[in-house]
Amino acid sequence: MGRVKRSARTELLPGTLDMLILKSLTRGVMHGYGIAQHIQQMSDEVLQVEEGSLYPALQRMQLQGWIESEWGHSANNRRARFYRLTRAGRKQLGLAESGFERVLGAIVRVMRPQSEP
Amino acid sequence: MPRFFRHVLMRLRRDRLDDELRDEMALHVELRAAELVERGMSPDEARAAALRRFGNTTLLREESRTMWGFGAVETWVQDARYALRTMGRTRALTGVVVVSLAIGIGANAAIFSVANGVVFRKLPVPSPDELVLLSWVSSTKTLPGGLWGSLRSSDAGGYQSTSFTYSAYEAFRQRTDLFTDLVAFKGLFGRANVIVDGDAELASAQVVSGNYYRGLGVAPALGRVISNDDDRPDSDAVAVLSYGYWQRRFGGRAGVVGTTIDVNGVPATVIGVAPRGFTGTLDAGRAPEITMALAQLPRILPDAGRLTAHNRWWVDMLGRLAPGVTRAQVDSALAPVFAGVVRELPKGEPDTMRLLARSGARGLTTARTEVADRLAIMAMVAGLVLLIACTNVANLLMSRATARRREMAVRAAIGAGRGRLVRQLLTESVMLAGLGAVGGVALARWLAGALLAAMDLDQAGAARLDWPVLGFTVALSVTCGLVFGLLPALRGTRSNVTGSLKDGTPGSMGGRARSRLAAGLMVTQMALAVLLSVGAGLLLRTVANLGRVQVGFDPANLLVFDIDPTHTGYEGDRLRDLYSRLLDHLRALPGVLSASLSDLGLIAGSVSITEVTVPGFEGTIDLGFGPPSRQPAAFVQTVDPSFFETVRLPLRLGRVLSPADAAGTPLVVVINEAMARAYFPGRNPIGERFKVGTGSDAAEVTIVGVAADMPFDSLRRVVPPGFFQSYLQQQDLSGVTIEVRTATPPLDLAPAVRAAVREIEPRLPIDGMRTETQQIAESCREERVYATLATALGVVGVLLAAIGIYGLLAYQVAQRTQELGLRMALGATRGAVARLVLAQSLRLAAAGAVLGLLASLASTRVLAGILFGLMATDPATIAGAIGLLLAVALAAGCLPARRAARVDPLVALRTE
Repeated sequence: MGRVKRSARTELLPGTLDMLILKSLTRGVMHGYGIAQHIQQMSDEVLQVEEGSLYPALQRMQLQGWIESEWGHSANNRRARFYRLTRAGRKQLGLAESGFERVLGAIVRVMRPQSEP
Repeated sequence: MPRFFRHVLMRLRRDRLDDELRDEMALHVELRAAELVERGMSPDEARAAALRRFGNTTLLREESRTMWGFGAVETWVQDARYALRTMGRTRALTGVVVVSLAIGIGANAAIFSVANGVVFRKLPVPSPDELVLLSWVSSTKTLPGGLWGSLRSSDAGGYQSTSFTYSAYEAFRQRTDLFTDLVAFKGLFGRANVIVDGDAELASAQVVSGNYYRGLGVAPALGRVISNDDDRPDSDAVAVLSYGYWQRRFGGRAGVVGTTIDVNGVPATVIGVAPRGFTGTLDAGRAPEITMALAQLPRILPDAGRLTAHNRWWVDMLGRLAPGVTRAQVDSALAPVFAGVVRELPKGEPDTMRLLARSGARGLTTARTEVADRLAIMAMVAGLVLLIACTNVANLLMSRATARRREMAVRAAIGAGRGRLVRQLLTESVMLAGLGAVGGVALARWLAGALLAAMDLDQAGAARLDWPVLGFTVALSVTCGLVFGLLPALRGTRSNVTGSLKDGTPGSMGGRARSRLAAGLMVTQMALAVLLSVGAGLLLRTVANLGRVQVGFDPANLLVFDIDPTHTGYEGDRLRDLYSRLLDHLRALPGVLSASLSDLGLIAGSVSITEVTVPGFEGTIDLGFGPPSRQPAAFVQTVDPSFFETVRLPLRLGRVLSPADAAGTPLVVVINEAMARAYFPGRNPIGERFKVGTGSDAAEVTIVGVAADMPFDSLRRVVPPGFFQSYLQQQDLSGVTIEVRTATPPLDLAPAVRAAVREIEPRLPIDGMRTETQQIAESCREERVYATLATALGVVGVLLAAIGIYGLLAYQVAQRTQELGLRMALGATRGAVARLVLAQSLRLAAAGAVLGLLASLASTRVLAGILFGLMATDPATIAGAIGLLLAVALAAGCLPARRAARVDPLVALRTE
C-alpha cells in the first residue's frame, strides 16, 4: 500500500521544506504533526512531507532563530511541542517567497513558452 | 541571541533535547496512527504504516544531534569513546598492537631525537646561517706534519680538515670586507684540571679568540664574556663557565663571578656564565665547561708546542659573513691568501690544499657526519620494525574487521553512511597509534640516552624531547594509524547489508581477495623478520666473539684509574718521584697485592706506535692500524717494572723489567711474542738489540724478555708486534693509568685508593675509577648496545610475525570450516586436515624466508664495519635465522591446525 501511494507523491523541491514550514506557521502556533497535516491538506494531498525529516528541519530552523518552541498541551490533552514564527522567521519567509516566485516564474516560462503574450 | 550561544545552550541541554525530540516524534507517530485507524485500518496496521511514513527515527535523531553539537568535534568524541570501548573489549589484541607500535615508534623517535640534537640542530645564536666554517681539502695522502685537530678522508683522494695554522687565521682576519667577524677557537680534548676551593676535578675546556662571543652574538647569562682585551699575551687569565658547569659545580651561585679558580696551575678569574643552551661550537656532543682566551693557551697547555709555527695546524675558525657576501665569494677571495700560507710551509708538507668555506650553522661537523652515517643505518632498521608493526596491525585489524562485519552491517542498516563507518574505524586505528606513540615517547627517552652513550656523545644539549621530536612522533603515529587503518576500514565496510545480516558467510567481502592480500602482507612480514633476525644474530655473535678473545693477562680483581700530574705542575724527576711514592703508598694498602702504571690504559682505545730499526730486518710489517708506514714499526707501552706481576702477563722467555733498569743504565725492553715472530723469526731474541725511533733521536735498546701477547688498544685487532719499556728510563709521562691488583672485589677498595692518592697529592684529580673487567666491557660498548637494540627489535619482529601468521591461519580456518567438514565427511583424517593448515603456514614462511634471505644478502653489508670474527653473509647465522622463523611459523600454526582437526563434520555441514 505504501509503495503505491509513494509513487503518487510529488517530491518536494530541495529547500522548499523550510519555506513551507514557515508559511504554515504564519497561521499561528502549531506542533509538528499539525504542520505536516497542514502542508498535506493545503496542497490537496499532493505534497507529502517525508514526515520524519520535518523534525531535523525544525531543529535547524530553531538554531537559525527563525522559529521558537515551547511545550504545551494538544487538543486531546497530550504534551506536545508548539512552534511559533519569530520576527527573523518572517523576514526569512519573505526572502524565500520572493526567491521562490522568481524561480517558479522562470520554470513556467520554460515549460509553457506558447502561453506568453 | 547569537547563533554561537544558541549552540552552546543546546549543547548543554543536549540530553534533555534528545528526550524531548524522542517524545515529539513518538507523539507524531501516535497521532498519525490514530488518524489511520479512524480511516478504517486495524491498530497494528496503522502503527506500522505510520512508522513507515515517518522514516528512520534513529538516523533523524542523529541528524538533529549533529546539529546541536559542534559537528565534527562531536562525532569525533563519540567515535573516540566508542573506540575506547572496543579496545577495552579486545584487550589482548589492543595490547599487542600498542606494544608493537610503541617499539616501532619509540625506536624511530629516539633516532630522530638524536639526529635532531646532534646532526640537524643549528647553533643557538642569531642568524646561524650567516656563519661559515673554514676548511681545507687536499688531493694527496700527505699529512701535514704538525696537525693537532680533526682529519677526514676527502672525496678527492686526500684529506680534509678544519684545523688551520695561526698565521692563516691572522691573514684571513684582515679581510673585514668578507667577514663582520672571524672567530677562532680550539677544543682541549686533553681536558683541564680545574681546582675550586682546593678540590681538584677534570673539566672539558676550550680557548677562543677575543671576538668569539661578540662575533657569534652570544650574551652572557651572568657577568660578562671574553672580549678582545682578555685575549692579549699580557692579559690576566679569565674564564667563562658553561651554564651546566656553573649549575653542577658551583650550585648556580651568582657570587661565583670574580672568584679565582685554578686551571692546569694557572689562576684564572671567573668573569661570567654562558647562556643556557649555548654549548659552544665544537663537534657533536662536545660541550666545553670552561672557556678561556686563546692567548692563555701556552700557559694552560705548556706542552702544546709553538702554536704560531707556520706548519702547526690546529685552530678552527667560524666567520660571520658581511652583508651580501656568499660562501663562493669567500672561497675565491681567500684562495690567494691561503696559497700564500701554503707557500710558507716547510718542504715535504702537502701542497695541494685548497680552501673551502662550508656552512657554519652547526659549528664543527666532523663527528656529526660520522654520527649521521650511523644514524642512517639505524633509522633503516627502525623503519623496518615500524613497517612490520604496521603490516601486522593492518592484518590484525583486517581479521577483526571480518569479525565485525555483522556489527558494521547492523550499523549500516540503521543508517550509518559508509564514510561514517570508515571514519569510525580510522579513529580507532589512529587512537591505537596514539597509544603506541605515548609508549613510544617513553621508550624513546630511554633509547636516545642509550644511543648517545653508545656513540660516546655527551648527553648535554643533545637529544631532548623537544617540539620537533614530538612533532615527528605525532606525525609518524598518525601516518601509521591512517596507513594501517585505511585498508581494513575500506574493506571492512564494503559489505552487503542483507547478506551479512542473514548469516555469518563472507557476503560480498571477497574472502579470496582478502586472503591473497593478507598472505602478501604476511610474506613481507616474514621476510623483514628474517632480515632483522640475521642482523641481530650477526651482532650477537660479534659480541660473543669479542668476549672469547684471549686478553693474555688476568683482568679479574684489577682496579684501574687515570691521573695526570703534569696538569698539577709536576715534571721531570719530581714527576717520576711522585709516581713511585704513589705506587709504594698503594702497595702498602691492606687488600692490595701489587700496583703498577702504564702510559696507556689496557684495551682503552689509545695506542702509541714507534718506528723501529731492527738489524737484519728488511721490509715493513702491517700493524693493522692507520696508513701503512714506510718504516718497520711496533706498538709500545711504557710501564712500571711491576706491570707484568700486577696484570699477570705471563713471561715466555728471559726476564721482566726490573727497578734496577733505571735512568742512566742501558735501555732494556720486553717484547711480545708477535714482535719476536715478526722481527726475529726462528731465533731467540733475548740479548738482541734494535733502534727505537728514527734519525738522530733513535735510541738503541736491548731485549731482555719475551712476554705473552696481549691486545693493546682493542680486542678487535690481531695482537700487533709490540714491546714494553720502563718509565724509569723514559722522558716525562704526561698522564698514566694506574693498575691495582686486589685480593678482594676491586671496587671495595676504591675509597681507600682515592684517599691514598689524596694523601700523596691533594691537588691531583682522579679520572675514571673502574675495574679492568668494566674497561674491557666498555671497549665493546658500541657493539653491545647495537646487539641489544638489534636483538630487541629482532625479537619484536619475530613475535609480530608469529602473531600475524597465527591470526591469518585462525581466520582461514574459521572461513573454511565448511570445506574442512566436507573433507572430513568424505574421509580425510584429522591429521590430514591439520597438516593442510600447517602446510599453508610453512608455505608462507618459506616464501618469506626466501625473500628475507635475498634481502639479507643484499643489505647486511652495511654492518661489515662493526662485525668481528664473522662475515656479513655468515651462512650459519642466516641459516639459524631462517630455521628460527620456520619453527616459529610451525608453532604459530599449531593452534589453528588443532582447531581445524577438531572440526565436527556434522556441525560444519549443518550450517550450510
